[in-house]
Amino acid sequence: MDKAALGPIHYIWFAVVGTALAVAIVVLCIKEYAREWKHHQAIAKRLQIKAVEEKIKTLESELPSVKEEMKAKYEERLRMTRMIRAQVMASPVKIQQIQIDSLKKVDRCTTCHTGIEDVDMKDQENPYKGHPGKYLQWHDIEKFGCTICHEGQGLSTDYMHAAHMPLRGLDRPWQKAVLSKYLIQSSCGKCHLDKEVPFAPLLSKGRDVIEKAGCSGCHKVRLYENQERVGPSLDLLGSKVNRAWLLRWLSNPREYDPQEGLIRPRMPKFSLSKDQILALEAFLMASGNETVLKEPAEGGDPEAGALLFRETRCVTCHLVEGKGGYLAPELSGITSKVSKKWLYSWIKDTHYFQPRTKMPQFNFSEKQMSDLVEYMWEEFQGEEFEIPKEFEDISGNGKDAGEMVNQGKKIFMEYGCTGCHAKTGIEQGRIAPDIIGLGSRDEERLEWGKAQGVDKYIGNWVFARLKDPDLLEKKAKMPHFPLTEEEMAAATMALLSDTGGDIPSQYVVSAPNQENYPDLPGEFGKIVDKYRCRSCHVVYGKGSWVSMHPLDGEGSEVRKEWLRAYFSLPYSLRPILKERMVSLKMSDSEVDLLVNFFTSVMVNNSIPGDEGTFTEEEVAGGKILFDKYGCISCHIMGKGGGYVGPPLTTVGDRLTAGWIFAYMKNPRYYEPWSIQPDYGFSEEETRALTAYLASCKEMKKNIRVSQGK
Amino acid sequence: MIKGLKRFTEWLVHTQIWSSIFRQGWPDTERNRILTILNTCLFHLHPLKVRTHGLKVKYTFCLGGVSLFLFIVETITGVLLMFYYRPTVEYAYQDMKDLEFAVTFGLFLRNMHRWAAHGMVLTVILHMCRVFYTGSYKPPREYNWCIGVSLLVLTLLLSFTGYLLPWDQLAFWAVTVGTNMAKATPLMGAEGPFHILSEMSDMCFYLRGSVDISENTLLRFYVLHCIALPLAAVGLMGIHFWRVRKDGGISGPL
Repeated sequence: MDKAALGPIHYIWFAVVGTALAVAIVVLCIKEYAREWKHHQAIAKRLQIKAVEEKIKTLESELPSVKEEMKAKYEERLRMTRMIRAQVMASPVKIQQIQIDSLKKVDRCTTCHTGIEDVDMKDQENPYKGHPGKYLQWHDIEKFGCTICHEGQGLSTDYMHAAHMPLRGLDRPWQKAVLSKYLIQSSCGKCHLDKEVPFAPLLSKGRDVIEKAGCSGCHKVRLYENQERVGPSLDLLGSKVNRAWLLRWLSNPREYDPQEGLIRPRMPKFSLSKDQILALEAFLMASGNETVLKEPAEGGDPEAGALLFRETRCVTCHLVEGKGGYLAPELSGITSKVSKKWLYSWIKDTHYFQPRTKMPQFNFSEKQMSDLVEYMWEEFQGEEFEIPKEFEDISGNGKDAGEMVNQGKKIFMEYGCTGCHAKTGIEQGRIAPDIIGLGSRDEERLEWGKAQGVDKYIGNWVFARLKDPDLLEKKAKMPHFPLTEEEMAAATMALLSDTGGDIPSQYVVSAPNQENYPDLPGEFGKIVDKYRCRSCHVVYGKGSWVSMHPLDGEGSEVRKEWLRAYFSLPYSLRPILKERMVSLKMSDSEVDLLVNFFTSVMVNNSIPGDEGTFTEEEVAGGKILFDKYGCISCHIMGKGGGYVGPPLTTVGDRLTAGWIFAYMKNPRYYEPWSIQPDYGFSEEETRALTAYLASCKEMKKNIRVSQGK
Repeated sequence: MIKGLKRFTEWLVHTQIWSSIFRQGWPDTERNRILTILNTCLFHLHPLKVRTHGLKVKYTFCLGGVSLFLFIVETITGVLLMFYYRPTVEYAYQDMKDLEFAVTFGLFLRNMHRWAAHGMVLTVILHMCRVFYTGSYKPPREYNWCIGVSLLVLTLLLSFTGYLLPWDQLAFWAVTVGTNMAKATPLMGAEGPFHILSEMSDMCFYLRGSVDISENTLLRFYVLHCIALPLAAVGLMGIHFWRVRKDGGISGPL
């Protein structure tokens, strides 16, 4: 090959390609070296040093003016702060990562968010910001990492690939992006499996909605697999309501109470045709049995009934014109729904009609019952319903009664009515698909129906499903639930928190399983069942938290005499509470049994049972402490005081000395939800306070004061 | 000084080590030059003499050579990537991200492997086109044409098996679609015409090692990608190049 073949053009090509290669290599090295996170670490370091130096400066300027005895302390602090500065300055520039084997996670988020644990950096911009709140104190970052809560791609060290983009912008290809400020509460629900999750109000609300709306009647929902049915038994419905009411109810339950949101009635609206409603009505009314109803005695006194109504505090559970408790149905307008005979029979024999109701069987006398019925009949008079015209036109329609009933039964089963309502002879079964692990469903595989325009995000799907079931599926069987948009959003979020069983058991926080607590045995069990104590109180691990006062250990807490008086005539310990103890009208023998059982069995052995002996000095010392700590700002003592805590004027009559001592020593040991501040009293101070409080009695004779101990 | 150097080389070429490696003398005579090519493993595939027009780019566009070059790039970067990659469901994607974000030059390494792979598919196809349009498949080169077609298939298979290894959504679904095609094979596929095999024993099942894409598929594809297919390609390439020489060099009519 001669030189002429390689003209100057070849040399130019060679030069160009060679230079381009060299430049590319240099650019590659620069890019490799100048990573985004290095820039962030440098800025974070500068900010941290600035914060520490400001601290040092203030300490230095204050040093000459501090008192002599404080000087050593100040110098020590100064030395420590200088050490921190040296530490920050010497901290190397490197990728930080948190590796958690049990969660199979490697999070490099702290590579850029270096100051996340630094309390001084709370006011900085992201990514230099310290984590708000105390969340990292509760969840050690080395044990939990970041993406377990926040989602996103923890392995990445640049903004884009970490999938930072709350609220799923459409230009983002990520499936599991960093959650927004609101959605993040759903992550709490991954591990926190109790119904009330602290610091996650939206999640707790969502779980409440799921429970009350009775989702688990048709779907298998995590946490609610074994929930009791939310609706009443329909076994004797035919004797309870009239046809006109039932037809209106089945057409649109919301007409009964057109308020928004999940209040009673909770019955959702099914899309049923007129014929279907008629058939269903025929089936339900066929259960009527007039012979079980009894006539109330003549001559009930409505005024006595009104007094009884108030004394019993029915409004603790029932609504009256939209006001009152949320446990039981609205009472105003009750006459348009039920007959007088049924109302009487219900009060007389509550658990015969609804074996699983939360309502106690009140121990009213015959006279009291007829008074009460008379009063309610006058007070809660509602309009008389007539069968809607459109039903009259087609009723009959050529079918005989038996055929209608059979058709109604078919509809009853097909629409999953048994999910919420018990009916003898029809087995309970979930008619809808499981929604376990809903949060990790593949969005591409879901049916999007008419909602094609929306961002295909699982949360949008669930929300759309709740809002308008027909949008996603033609002729959906799922009914329209009477929820507000906020409630739907909260419920959606709570459902998304179930991302499948990928959380190791050591991370799971769950409420004790109520299944482990069977019905109570013996006479005590019978009383608990009769008065449905567990509708409001937790008794031996099972029950409801309407009252924040579980009854286990009650015998150690209150005194026998007080308990007896309280059962005979309950009063409200805290008048600001809406849910107050109802007056059950227990018989004397029942009160005796309960008092004995409480004081002998339902006790906490770690609390001393004896009354204790206190000296006069201790009582006086307690009084001084009581005034010093300003207890009166929350508690009533004598004439004045606050309304946050229970009144203490006669606390010595109510509480045992042992309980007062134990409670003052550590308020949150026995009642973790208590808002009583823990003052860290010493043994002597606690004793003195106990002595003082135990002496606050109406009848001082009970206290034994011994001299000189 | 020069004298000393001469004496040193004289001594060196007569040592046993030197003469066991280079069997002939300096390539300063015609005979020794031929022997140098014939006796050296690496030069063995190289023709004894190259025609001047063989150096002209527009004769071959150097497509075969570029393919070989890219194959070598793939081998080197691939071996380096193997140090960081574990073919398990748990780690595959994580290792990919490690390469991207934590390993020095990891992203470059991975991208180089990826782009070289794309480039190789492209150049091999262009190479085939070039051979077709210049009529270079005609006798006596028809055997080498067949070897070349096999090499093209191997290149595509290498590309396909490598596609699953990142274990991301794209990989998963691409290979799902790709292997689903095997179901439609006549006779051998469970859904193909005249099928005789069940879903548990058809081509697709053997390709995946399970009914769906799973850890088995990942491992299978990894072994194919890193061992079986490259070895086959190297073997066929050896024959290919040797036949190029035997059939009259890289260019020019016979």
